[in-house]
Amino acid sequence: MNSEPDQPGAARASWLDRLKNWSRYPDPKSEPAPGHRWPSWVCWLVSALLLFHVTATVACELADQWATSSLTRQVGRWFWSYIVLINQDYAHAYFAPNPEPRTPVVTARLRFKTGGPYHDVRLPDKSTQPRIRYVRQIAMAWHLTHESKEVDFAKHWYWARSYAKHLCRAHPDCDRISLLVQWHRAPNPNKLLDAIARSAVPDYDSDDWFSPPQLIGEFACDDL
Amino acid sequence: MRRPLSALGGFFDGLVRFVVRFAIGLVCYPFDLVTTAGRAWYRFFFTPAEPAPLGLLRVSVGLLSLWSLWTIGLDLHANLGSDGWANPEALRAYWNEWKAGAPAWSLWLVVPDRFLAAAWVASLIVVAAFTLGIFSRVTAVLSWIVMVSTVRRAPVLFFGFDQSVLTWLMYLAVSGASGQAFSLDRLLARGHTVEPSVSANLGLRLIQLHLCLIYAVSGLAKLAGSSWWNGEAVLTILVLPEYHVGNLTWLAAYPKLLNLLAHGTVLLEILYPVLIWNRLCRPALLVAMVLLHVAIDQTLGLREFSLSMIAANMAFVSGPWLRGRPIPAAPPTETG
Repeated sequence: MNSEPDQPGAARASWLDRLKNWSRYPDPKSEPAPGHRWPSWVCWLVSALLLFHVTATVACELADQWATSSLTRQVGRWFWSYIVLINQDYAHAYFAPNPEPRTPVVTARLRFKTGGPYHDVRLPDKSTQPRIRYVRQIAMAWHLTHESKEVDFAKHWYWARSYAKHLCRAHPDCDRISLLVQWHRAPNPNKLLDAIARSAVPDYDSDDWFSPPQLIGEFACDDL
Repeated sequence: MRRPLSALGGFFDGLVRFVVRFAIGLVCYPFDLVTTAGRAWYRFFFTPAEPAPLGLLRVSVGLLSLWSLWTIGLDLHANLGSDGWANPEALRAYWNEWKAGAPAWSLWLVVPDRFLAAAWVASLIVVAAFTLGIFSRVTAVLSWIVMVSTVRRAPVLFFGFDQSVLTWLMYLAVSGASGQAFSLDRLLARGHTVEPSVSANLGLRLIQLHLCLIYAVSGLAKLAGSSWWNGEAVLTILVLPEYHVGNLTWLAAYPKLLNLLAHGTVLLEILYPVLIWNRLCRPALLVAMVLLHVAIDQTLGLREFSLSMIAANMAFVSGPWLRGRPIPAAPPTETG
């Protein structure tokens, strides 16, 4: 406040102080009260709960990673029920260890009792709006694809059966449903660089970038 | 003869003093460690804090939950109905197999199909009330129950956004302090006066810690991937099929920039949990994280996920600064 014109630093500080004070509430009575502290027994109790929660969260987060030791898995199991109960059973390893350079596209091929042409339902469907619904369809495609990779898939294909059953109910004329998965591949970085250097970048959404369809399962609507 | 003897005596005297000092240190160190850690723990969790950031978080998380629930309603029976994408038999089989008998739950399972629309409208009202800060303590818990039930009912449809928003919602519900600022509760009860509270601090601390855990795990897990080391990961993500929102292949012409972005992402995620506690580093890290999440939105189209993570970063914004009050000085650190 006591700025002197011959001290440019002091003058600048004063200008900054004035600007800072102006940006705050002018009334000192509006300063927050110190707030009430909790009794010590409450602090002890809450501390014990905090300790449990933090330990459980960290242990299960580590146990859920793609590479874990038997120790972390063992410790994670101790807290598993609690973590599932509070819906925190997730591993947050986004795009790790490496981003998958492909995305599954699941096609449900519907055949009708009338014998007409088949109808394809694509997951994800690019015309879906708003985008969050489209992203949810990608999640569904991932689940169906992961499930089909299980060793004893026919015994465990609850999501594939469930999805087929849903489509049968939604299309009453439908007789049979085939679920097919294709991988939509991302371009190899080096080949992409070559293509850019040659000014010949292909359309990566064209059919050339899809793997051949693989059958997930065949479902008869009457059996579902 | 005297001089060497006195030197020997001095040596033994020093040795004895050293042994005593060492023994005292040995006994006192664990005690000091525990008491200092206890004091730090108390200061960290039980110092009253301004609830303003928590209030802003409640509004953001509430709006995102409302949007999520609204879009679920656009395919209500497909998402939550008994003949939906995830029917109850499939869900129970999945829980038995993947949750190993742990108590997974969803209230949507007890709602008959004919009452689905009514239950959905009621859920929207609850989440809207939470967002506005009406009966915040109750509506926060109810909103968490509604959103967990929704995510658990059709786990095949949910992704990172739902995970993160449910985490913040849980802490807002548990702290019971989300309605202490920017809420109708506050407006109706005591006008504009906002007092710091321990419950607000607890809510903020839990969100801060969980956010740090997410970034740390995400960053450390990337260290095991070769594409993050050779710098190709960002290009792979930019051209990720089905996700990408525009043609970003032209960015491949700038490999050094993409390498920098890959290394920068890993570095940022690993350093965030360490440096965010430093006041000087905090604004820079918050800006960097906002930019990272904006980039995720612009390239992968994961807008809701990006917004929920940006909202969680608000837990680190100073309450007094938000309200235009002087920021209290940091407690003096003990030295020596």
